[in-house]
Amino acid sequence: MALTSPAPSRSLGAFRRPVEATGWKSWVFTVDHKRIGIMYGAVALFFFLVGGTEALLIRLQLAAPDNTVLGAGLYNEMFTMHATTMVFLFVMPLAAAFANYLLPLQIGARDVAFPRLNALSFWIFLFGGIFINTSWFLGGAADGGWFMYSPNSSGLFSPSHGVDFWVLGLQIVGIASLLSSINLIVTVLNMRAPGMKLMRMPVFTWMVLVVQFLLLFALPVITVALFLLSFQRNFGASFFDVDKGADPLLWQHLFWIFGHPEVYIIILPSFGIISEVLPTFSRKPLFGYKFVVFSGATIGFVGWGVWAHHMFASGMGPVSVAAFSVATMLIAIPTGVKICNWTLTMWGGKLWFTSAMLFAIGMIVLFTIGGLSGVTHAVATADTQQTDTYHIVAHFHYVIVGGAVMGLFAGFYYWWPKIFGKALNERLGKWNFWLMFIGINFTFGPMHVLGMQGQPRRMVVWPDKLTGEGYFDLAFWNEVATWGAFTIATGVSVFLWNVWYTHRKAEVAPLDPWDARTLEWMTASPPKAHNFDAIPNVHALDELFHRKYEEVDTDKGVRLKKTSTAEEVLAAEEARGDAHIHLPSPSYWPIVLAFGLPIIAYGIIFNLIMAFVGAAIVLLGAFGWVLEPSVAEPGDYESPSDDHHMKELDPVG
Amino acid sequence: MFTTGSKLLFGASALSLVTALVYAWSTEGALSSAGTLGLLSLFVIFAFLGGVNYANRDCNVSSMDEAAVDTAAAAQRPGASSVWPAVVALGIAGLVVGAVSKPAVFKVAVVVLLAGLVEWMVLGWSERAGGDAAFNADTRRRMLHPLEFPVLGALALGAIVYAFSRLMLRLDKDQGRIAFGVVAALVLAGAFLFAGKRKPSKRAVLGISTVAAIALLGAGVASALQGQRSIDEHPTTRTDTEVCLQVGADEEIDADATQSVSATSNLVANIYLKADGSLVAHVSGYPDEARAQLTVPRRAQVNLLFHNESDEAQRLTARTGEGEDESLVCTAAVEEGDQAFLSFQAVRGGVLLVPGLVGGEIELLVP
Amino acid sequence: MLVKPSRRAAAALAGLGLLLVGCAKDAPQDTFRPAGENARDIDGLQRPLFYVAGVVGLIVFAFIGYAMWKFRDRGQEIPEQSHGNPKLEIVLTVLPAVILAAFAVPAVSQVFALDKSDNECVINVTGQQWWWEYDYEKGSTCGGVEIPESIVTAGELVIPADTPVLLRITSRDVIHSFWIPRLNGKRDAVPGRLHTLRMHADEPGIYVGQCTEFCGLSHARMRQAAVALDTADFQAWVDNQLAPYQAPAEGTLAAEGESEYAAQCSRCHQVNGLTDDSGNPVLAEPDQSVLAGAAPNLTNLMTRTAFAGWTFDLISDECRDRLWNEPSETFGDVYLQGVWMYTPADATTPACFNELNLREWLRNPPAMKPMYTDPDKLEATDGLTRGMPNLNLTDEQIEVLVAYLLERK
Repeated sequence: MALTSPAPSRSLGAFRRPVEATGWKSWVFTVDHKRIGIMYGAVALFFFLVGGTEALLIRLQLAAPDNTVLGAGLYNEMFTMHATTMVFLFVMPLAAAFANYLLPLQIGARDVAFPRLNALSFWIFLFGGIFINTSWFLGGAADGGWFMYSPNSSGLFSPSHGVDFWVLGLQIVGIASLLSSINLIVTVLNMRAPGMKLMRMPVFTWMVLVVQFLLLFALPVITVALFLLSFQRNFGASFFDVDKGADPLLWQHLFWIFGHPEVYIIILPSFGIISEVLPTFSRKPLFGYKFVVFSGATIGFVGWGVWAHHMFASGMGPVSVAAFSVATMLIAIPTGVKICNWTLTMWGGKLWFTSAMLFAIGMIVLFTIGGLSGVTHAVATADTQQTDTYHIVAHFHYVIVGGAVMGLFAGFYYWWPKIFGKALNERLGKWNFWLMFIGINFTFGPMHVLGMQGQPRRMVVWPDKLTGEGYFDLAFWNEVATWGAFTIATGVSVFLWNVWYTHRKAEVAPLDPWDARTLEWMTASPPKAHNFDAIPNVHALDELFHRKYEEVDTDKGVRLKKTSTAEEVLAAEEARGDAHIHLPSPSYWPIVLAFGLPIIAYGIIFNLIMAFVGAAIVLLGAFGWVLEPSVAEPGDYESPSDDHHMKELDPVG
Repeated sequence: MFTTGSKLLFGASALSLVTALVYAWSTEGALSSAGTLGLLSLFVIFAFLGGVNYANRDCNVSSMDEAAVDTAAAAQRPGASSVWPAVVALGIAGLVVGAVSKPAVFKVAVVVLLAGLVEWMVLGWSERAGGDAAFNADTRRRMLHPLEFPVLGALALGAIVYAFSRLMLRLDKDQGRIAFGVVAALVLAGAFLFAGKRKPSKRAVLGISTVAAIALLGAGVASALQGQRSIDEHPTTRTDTEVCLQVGADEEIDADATQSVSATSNLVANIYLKADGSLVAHVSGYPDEARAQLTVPRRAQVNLLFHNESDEAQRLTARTGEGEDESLVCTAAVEEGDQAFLSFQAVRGGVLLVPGLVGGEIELLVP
Repeated sequence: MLVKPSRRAAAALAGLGLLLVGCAKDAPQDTFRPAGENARDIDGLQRPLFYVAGVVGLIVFAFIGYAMWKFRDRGQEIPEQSHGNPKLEIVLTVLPAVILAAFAVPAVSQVFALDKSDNECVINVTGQQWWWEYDYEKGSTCGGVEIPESIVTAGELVIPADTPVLLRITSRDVIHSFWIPRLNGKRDAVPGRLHTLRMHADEPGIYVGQCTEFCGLSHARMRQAAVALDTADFQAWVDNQLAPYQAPAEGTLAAEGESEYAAQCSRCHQVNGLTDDSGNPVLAEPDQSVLAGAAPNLTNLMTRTAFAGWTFDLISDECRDRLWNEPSETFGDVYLQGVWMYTPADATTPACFNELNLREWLRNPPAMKPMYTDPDKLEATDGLTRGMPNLNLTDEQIEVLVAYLLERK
């Protein structure tokens, strides 16, 4: 074979890859971790509004004794979906949004390890979230609580399709998290820039890494539990059927072996965010970086040994109760270490109270309250009085809203100029912070009182005759909590207004508005598609800070002086930019594949033929995925007829 | 955008679909009729062929392309020898043999035939896909690997699972211990050998894996041919009157079916048949007390553990209600020194008794 | 302005701490007002825990607040880039560990202490959607009072005061949780399992509670109360429970009600001693209609102060308030009169009877308390209901039934 030069394309023409860089196609078919991160964030915020509306309806119902805003059935659906939405469709994906966007930037990579898989995760999550929420319109949502205790979740006691939607929806969303956890673990372990040792990684990246391992091991447990439940509901299995000799506590153990690590899955990204924000605005490295990292990892490990503290009243027997009680106290230690370290980071610093910093400090304060009330539950006998009351509701909302959500908002204010090139308005940001901070304390603070006064959770009404009088009047504190909830809602509205305002009015932010310390600030804002013109060489923790500041001898002794600006650092990096940058091409197939999953789920619920159609779509997506070329080629093999036509017009010499 | 050839095929495909729908409609929706199925099959086949044609652009090249004289698909020498004609032949032979012998052979032959035809077809097509042999090979791989690997993987897994399960069903307890002891020792020995080397040779790994796979498959087939060991039926909870009131044991006693593994924390009571012939209950809430009375709520699930401490096989029977309402539930006969689990619901009061035992009854109160 | 969050939080926490540990008024399910040995033990551990948690919180917030004030940006130099202080870190790790260890020891020992079985007086407690059934173990001796026969009641758990009582808790359908905050912590009622819970009330009185494990549609309307009586009153209560059935006098409304009851209600609700025309005892067979297979025993309905999962009062609001505030010396006497409490001796109608609630309930139970009774929606349970269905009773039927039930005292 003498001549092989005009070889046809390396690819099969039928499956060309999309190449659009603008327009809706550039978002739908994107595999760029930054775009996927932004989409994750937008969808998560949408579900935040959905879950928030559900919360407001719950608080309206509980605002007065014997209230009738919601009926019993609707109320049960409401609190089930509030928890499900907030945990699985808001906090987890919002953390995933930050992780997706920032993790490659923080470790100096051009994308995640498996870009198409990343897109697949996002679309699966989106379709799964929509799927769960369509249950509202298809016969009612799940009404068994987000813990879905058996046997109340069986077909006998919960005959509507709500639980089926919930089970299948969580399976779908779980696939997304699992894929994304594998993706991010591989990214962190394999794609760090030269010199970026593990112990030089930013704490946010560290915490995200711990979370991905937690997800990797926790999700299979809930997957198995959900399979057992759906087999019981749909195929007559009897895993939790008491009269067939099963023990319903099995579900509780399975659920909480997943459910407790889930708590750390929710909170650790936020720990990471404020461990970035506090040093930046204190102009000082994180106090005890190693302690913070290792305590994060310790939480990740010990978090597996405390699940049964959710079951102190379930009758496990005194030995298990005592063991889990002590284990739960142990986990307070690494958590306490973090709080101390954050405080000591501020100590001796030069504090700059931006909105991001305020959210971070607010997070420490609120999380400390949640942590301390958590320790009171660890004492098992005290917990038998506290569990399943509003005291517990107060505790975990301080942890999740006060801890996780405040941290994520700190992240918004801190990274907004990096992601969108414009900084969120600081004035509105302060309003946002104070409304939320006060709102949280007024919503969840009174719940401590309500719980200890004996108001249990998950009750559609609380009766007038049990309200009591004076300081502990349940009516008064319930009303306060409802007002508080609306204060939080106002705070969130200010945030949304701020987003709109910023994008309409604000000017372009400087390259390094916060005098930041880590790699993601060593590139353009917003970053170019390939993140870094040249992959940076990392020499230290807080690389950017060390490039900007040097120790200078002055007449007062050795002082840190800013010797170069971020712009200069960036220019130096761009000067040695790589000539050929190879980026993954967009792809049609992740969204196709993801689209098949909810169809399968609808099919399982309503009509098996539909499930086969869904499976066919998934299969089609998978084969399309395999068969498409690894990159889009600009000179892709054109159709001969077009080609022919063109060439004939072409004057040939 | 569509090539000429693919246009024809897609058109034929669409036409088949329309015809199928019309036919199905005119025969009043009999989707399963042979005509409809045939037309639908045509639709799928034409669509597939159209896709293939479209994907390789009818094998056309530009008329202005002089180099195509050498590189055009048509100028390529046919590929090297292929195994697929032989496979197809085997499939056809299998069809004939199966038709006169066993249906199973026929079914396998159909699968072999189909697989052979698909492989042959795609191979033949890919050899003309382009002017570059490497590209052609790549094309074939891209088309077929996504099919081949999952199918072959599933087959391999299936074979392993099947062989392993036959083996497990064949070996009894002691043989099982020996067999798996040997296997474990071999694995350990192999691991030691490999651990000593910096980089184990590929060939050695492959050889050992092959030997292991053949050994497993061989052992599986051999034990499948021998049939499984005899497995005892374990009677547990029974409700038939004859059995539950029977004295002692008449059937094979199952020493292992205690079902008590998980039944330690959720028991209403432990029932002991003592060596002196008395029947006592250690009821939850009365940890140190031997009682002759047990109160259980109406229609709530009651879990008991029966301990036989007498010197002969006995069963525990719960008899509730009277006359027409009487219902019986009992454990299997339990050998001396063993225990068995009894789970039931009661609507009326009654007694817990050991058939044949005089005087030893526990009163079962259902308020 | 910058110091505000810490001060505010500190103030809020201090206030909260005071609120939590201060003495409360009249919140019937207040966990800080233990009224029995077990709850007092828990309280004794819980209060110091809250104090310590509060103090630790205050220290942390004071520290944060001080740092925020002291190190605010006043144009000082970029601080030294210190990476931590391992010694300090270790101290800050060990310190909470020591505090926690100080609590771990009593925490563990209390778990075992509260698990001990005190079994002179044993009461079986069975949860069902959405009410509690109690049956008193035959042969138990409760505070010196012998229980010669099983007694079955619902909703209101009557126990002797100042006597350890052991509850054996299980469930017929889903998981429930039994909780009387002032007497002890919670214990789940799990079908197929039997859990024990100690109860002890110092003084006669009424101690209210609530099912605390989410148990489906009407979880919020599954309540309970424990009523403690002194020995003499408890003896009287037991005697009354076991007293023979008294048929209503011929020709009264109540007598009409008896036959109406036998026709309508006795399918599910047992009244001990009720006989049919041929003199055979009428035995309820709730398994034919109710999924879980039981319905509250109504033999002594009018001795209770609430019905239907202890949700709706059988006595008027004023009488309830008076009863709940009755001093422990006189509580028993009043309580034992049931709906006739606070009624002048010569009156012919009970002063405290909340007839309206009972009538409304009989007219349409699912309207008052959501339950699964709609016949069109019982596919999953083969037509068995969960809860009491609407029997479509006429006003006359309700009239005679109320008259009959009023005599079940």
